[in-house]
Amino acid sequence: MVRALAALAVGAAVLMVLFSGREDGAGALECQGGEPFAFETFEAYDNVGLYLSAIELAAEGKAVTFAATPAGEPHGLEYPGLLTGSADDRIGQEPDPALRIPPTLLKSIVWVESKFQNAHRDVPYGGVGQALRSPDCGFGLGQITSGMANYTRNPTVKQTLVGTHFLFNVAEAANILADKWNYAARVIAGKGDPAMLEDWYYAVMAYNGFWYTNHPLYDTDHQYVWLDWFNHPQNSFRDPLRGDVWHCEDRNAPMWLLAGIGESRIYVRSDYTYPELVYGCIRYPPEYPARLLNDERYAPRARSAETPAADGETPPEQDGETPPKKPDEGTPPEADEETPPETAEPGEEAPEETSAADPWVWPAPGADGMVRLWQPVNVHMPDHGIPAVRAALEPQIYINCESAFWTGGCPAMHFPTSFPDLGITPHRDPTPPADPALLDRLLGKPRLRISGPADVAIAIGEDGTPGSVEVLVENRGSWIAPYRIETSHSWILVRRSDLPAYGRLHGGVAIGAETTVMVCTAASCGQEITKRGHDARLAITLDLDELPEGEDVEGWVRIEPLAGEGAARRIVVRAGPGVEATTEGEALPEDEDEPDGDGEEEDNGERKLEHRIVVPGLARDEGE
Amino acid sequence: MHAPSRSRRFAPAPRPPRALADALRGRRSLALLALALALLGVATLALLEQGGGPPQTAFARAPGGQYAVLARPAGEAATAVTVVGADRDAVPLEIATVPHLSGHRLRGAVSPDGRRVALLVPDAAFSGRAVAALLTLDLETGELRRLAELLDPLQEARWTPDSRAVLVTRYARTETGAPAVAVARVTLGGGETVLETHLGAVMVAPLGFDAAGRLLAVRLDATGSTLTRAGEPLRWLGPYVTRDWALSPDATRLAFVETNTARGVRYLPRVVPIEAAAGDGVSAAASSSSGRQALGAAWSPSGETPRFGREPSAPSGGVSAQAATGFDVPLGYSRDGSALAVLHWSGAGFDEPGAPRFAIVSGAGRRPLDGFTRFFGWSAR
Repeated sequence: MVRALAALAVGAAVLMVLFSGREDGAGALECQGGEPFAFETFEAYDNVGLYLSAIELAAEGKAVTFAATPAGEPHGLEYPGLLTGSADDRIGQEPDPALRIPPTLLKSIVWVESKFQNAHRDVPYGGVGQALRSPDCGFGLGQITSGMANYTRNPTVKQTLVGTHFLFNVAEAANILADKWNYAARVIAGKGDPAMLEDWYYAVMAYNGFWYTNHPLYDTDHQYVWLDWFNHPQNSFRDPLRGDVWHCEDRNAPMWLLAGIGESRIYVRSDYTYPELVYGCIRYPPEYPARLLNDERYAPRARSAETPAADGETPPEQDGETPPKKPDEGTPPEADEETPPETAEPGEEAPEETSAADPWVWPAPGADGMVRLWQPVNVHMPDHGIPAVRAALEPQIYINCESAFWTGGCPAMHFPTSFPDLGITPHRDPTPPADPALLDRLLGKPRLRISGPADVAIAIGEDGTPGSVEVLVENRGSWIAPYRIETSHSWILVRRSDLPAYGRLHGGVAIGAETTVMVCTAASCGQEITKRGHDARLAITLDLDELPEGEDVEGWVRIEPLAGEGAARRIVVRAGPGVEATTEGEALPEDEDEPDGDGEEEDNGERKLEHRIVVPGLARDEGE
Repeated sequence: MHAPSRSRRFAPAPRPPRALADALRGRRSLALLALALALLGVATLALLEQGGGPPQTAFARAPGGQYAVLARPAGEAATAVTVVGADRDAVPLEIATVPHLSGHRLRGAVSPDGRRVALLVPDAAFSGRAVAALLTLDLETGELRRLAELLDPLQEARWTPDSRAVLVTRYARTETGAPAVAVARVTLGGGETVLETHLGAVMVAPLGFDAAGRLLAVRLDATGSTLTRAGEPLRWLGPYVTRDWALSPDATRLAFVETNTARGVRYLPRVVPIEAAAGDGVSAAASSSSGRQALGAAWSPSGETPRFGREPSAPSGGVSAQAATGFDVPLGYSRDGSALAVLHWSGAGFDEPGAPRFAIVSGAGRRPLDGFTRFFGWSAR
């Protein structure tokens, strides 16, 4: 009895401490700058097909074709292009926008960074919610940290696009990788040929923090991340028996080793350097999720077996239970049959014909029966048995270069990637060129409409709670409409009106009505609950922690579309002792966010969408 | 010498109070705190009435013997610290489950008194990189203490001989940007003191203390590996990266493995005396097997010769713990020297190591430890 009483008391005390607002140190590393930006985003139901397509476009520099927002503000997300050749070749050379990053490399990086999750894990596939944000402010698919710090309270256009839309997120990932490749002081692997996967070794290392001198985090407070002995394969605290690459969670990979009986793996991702992680996933691509693979609408198809259908030509969906055969939503673009295969130029050293040598072509199952996210490439890692490679990666060379801030490109670290006498040649990426027409489908035709009063007063109630005024952000066009929220003062708080616990919001998305948005999964709610599109209902209210005391204040909120069409809306906000009542909101349109019943008829006879996610132009609903 | 960068950062301080809302919050917090204290008081009184003192783990009541402290994954983002008796029939005793970043693992070291384990827990990230916190876990009470943060997760914590502090390293740069590594002493109360700073080093591994209480460490820099004492170079270990260092019980000899890159990468066992005599060089661990690779090094309490986990291709000799097939990488002798923890590999060599399995090797035979992924050291009761 006494022990029970003691246990009860201890438990209660622990719970009280836990819930009294005390912050535990674990994972509490703050982002750089001020309060981290909070964005909402859309997590595609087909997070494989769509994201792969976006990555392929981004790798070719074709993901972003407009330079400014509807208001004319540049976003700075244009692909910089790539340099090519040796360090000498690169002197005076302008980056070539026609050169692509090997798409498989970028896919692997994105997988390593986020496992193809663009939103927080609580957001269902096909749903809208908080963007994936690591404790150190890595955002979205590419876990973009560079340039995402909050130094100005309001996000830039670029920050908002990266935080709200998967296409722009992977575009920025590609741009960062391209910058690492092009950086003048970069050491070069192989011939510096961007078509060769192995030649990207140092640039891949750089994506994870190599060469931080031009990084905003390079300051005396964060020197511990600058030194990169961490990623050297001979780091004394890395296990020499771990193999040359990560298994990428592939049970059939050689280094997927269990610790005796049971499921405990000896080696996990933290046992590997960043290049070992990325090249490991190139060699052992992750398994295609059964959720998509077993659904005819989303299963990947061999590209050569399909021809892209022009908008409007796709057969309408007839019945949710027996979906007709149609091009996959989000299936990567088909290879143009007239597109010549990538071959070596005359006189050029012939790379290994990876795709031809493979007994199968993606997405057919491999010998192990597994369908993978992309076609594996048996890339080579730097072989320390080869003197030229060993010499380049000697720790002393590395340390000297590091101590010298990599001045002059550190030519002693250059190493060849081709040794034909040893049967070692670098690999080209087998991914065919992306279909540019897919960009229109991934961008859609968003048209943002913002409804609400132009001038609001917000009073504080007797209970100390501030009032709020609602603003509706709709996408009258299609697909994803990203928007940014700016405030003139920190005492103005804009948040989701239906999710006050989320706190301040700096940007988000509205989804067009042609797209089915997942509200709740069957696993969570017993049945899938979906709705047509997604309107953002924003509440303008006050942050009492920031509100000046005892004075009347005035500021503004600006909500701005960042892609497609639409006009920004500026709303004046007043607060203070002189404000006695909160402005009554305008009569906003009826809430169309109410969940649909699955497959039920609406009053107007129009059939509601089944629980599927539509990419504009890839599939049309009956009657549209 | 330059002072290292102080980069300890903790959760941001609360914002300045605001009149109404904060008053409400403040009152609630005070009430909660008072109630919590009252309840804790009741709990303490109840326990004291029983004469039980603080809560105890099963290990606190375990029978006398030698106990290995190991890690077993508890999902992708947590690790169960577990104690396993060296006896064949001993049941594993789980002490605590420690959360960390998904896809990461803990590193740990048992204190000389066997009471605590120091854990490097990668539980935060910075600019895409995991950073670790230093925690101590009391094996008898299960109490976890968070002592330091923002540490490189790729290092081994090292206890002071009195078990009152843990040595860790921090990266630093001087004002001119020169790289440096600081060795810091972190007490159980969380106080941190820099013992020495190594300019130009990319890595420093504290090894232990000599008889005079001076810190011995290995530093890696552009010259290779150097043994240092109290921050000063003592002897050059060679131009290569070194690893798996083990100081003899009397702190007079150092066993380690050299990552030799003269002809490909080869892992060569070495033993050197700490006090360099004239003409002393770094010698191979055994002249008859200087070309054989090895990983891991462990000294028995008697401190005669170190054990290396040799690749099994050459004729056997010198390593009594080798299994019939495959090879063992030694991890540490029990305190009484009666048992050796190893990671056994079933393969024929380092190029194809086969399947791994932790095991305790003793006079009673070989006891496999399935499901464990890290060895932290030995305790005893």
